[in-house]
Amino acid sequence: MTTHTLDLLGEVCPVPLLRTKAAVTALPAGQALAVETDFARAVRNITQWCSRQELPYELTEIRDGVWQIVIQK
Amino acid sequence: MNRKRIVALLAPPAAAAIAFGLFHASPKVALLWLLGLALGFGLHRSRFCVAAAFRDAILFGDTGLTRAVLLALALSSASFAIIQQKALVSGAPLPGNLYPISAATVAGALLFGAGLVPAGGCACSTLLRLGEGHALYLWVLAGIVAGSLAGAYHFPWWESLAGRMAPVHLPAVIGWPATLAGEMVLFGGLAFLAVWWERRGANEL
Amino acid sequence: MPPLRLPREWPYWAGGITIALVNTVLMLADGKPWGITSMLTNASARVAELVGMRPSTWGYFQSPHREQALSDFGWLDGSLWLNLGIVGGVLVSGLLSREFHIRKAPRPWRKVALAVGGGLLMGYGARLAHGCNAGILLGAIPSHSLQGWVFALVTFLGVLLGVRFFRRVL
Repeated sequence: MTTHTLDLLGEVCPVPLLRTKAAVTALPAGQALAVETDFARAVRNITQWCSRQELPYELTEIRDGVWQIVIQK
Repeated sequence: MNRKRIVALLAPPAAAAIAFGLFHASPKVALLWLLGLALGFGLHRSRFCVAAAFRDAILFGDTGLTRAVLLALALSSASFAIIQQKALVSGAPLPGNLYPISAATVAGALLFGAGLVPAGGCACSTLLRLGEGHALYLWVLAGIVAGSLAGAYHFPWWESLAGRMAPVHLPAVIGWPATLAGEMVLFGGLAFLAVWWERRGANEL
Repeated sequence: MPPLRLPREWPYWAGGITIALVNTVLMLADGKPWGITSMLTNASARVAELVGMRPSTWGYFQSPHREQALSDFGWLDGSLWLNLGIVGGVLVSGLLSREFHIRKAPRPWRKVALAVGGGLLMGYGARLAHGCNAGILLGAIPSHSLQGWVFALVTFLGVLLGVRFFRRVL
């Protein structure tokens, strides 16, 4: 299983979720996408979207104010 | 890393010290500072954003914030009603934000709504993001400052356009019961609409 | 150094209640709810005076209420400290939850241009409408002012327009 990364550091709402959606849609089944963002609001946006789409995800704060969300398709 | 922890420990006492200092000059301003601290804290923890209440509902069908804003509006409408009624009864001037409606209002709201999308937030969010450390929002703030001056400069021209209505205090026109009932029905109705819109699934306008 | 942790995230509705509570206290203490752009306009006018402009002569500041507000505006302005408090509160919250982190403005000038452009539209629009989302949406609607509802509806339309435009720019 490959994990692709999506670096969204410096991106401002609504870009993080827009690009995450596009990337997840393009992702082949069985693979994972690791999204990195430093925008706190976007973290909630993305995780709520994952819950609504019933996509399992894992959220970690990799450093102060930088989060990684690994979404499993 | 460690420096940040020290700053974190010093931050609350520093905030309190500022309150203390302000108190000597003006107790009211000290209170406003403390209220601001509380508001900022709560809005940060809840990841609030009024811009997102509009924008995310449109872009992503995501209405959690929309409903939270409706809740804030419903609660404050009730408390402001009590405060306003007390003032009216005692003959004091009516407290609150009542402004005239005109072409300027419509144009202004349109520009404001359009602007918050590329800006990445509204005026309130700009403050919140700055507090979080996003330097980009200093640019948004600069834009707001320049825009405000330009808007003030052009204001008379906008006001000269036809269609200016004096401020309308709804209870004065249709009475308190109708106003409150109508507002609560609207808040509730919009909340239901929001939930329905979200449940409908991934659809954006 | 022990980690400083509080329950990290609150649900959205907690923020909604916070706004209602604070605005209620503001109405009781100050006679008016939270507002941002009116204060910013006065502050900007002061800065403009420093570079030689004379905003006090502009038509906008001729209304007695605004003329007074501008001449009164100083370091102890209530609205100024309210909004500084908000920034402070966010800062304290972020430091305590160990999220605070300075993110420098990104390199591509396109992003900065969008930020400034958006800010310009918001600042200009807010002046025309007598306020922004804080003063009008969260302040005028609960004050039972029809203007607040008009603002809310048209802002929604504005966001629709903004999304249409932004989609292409993105």
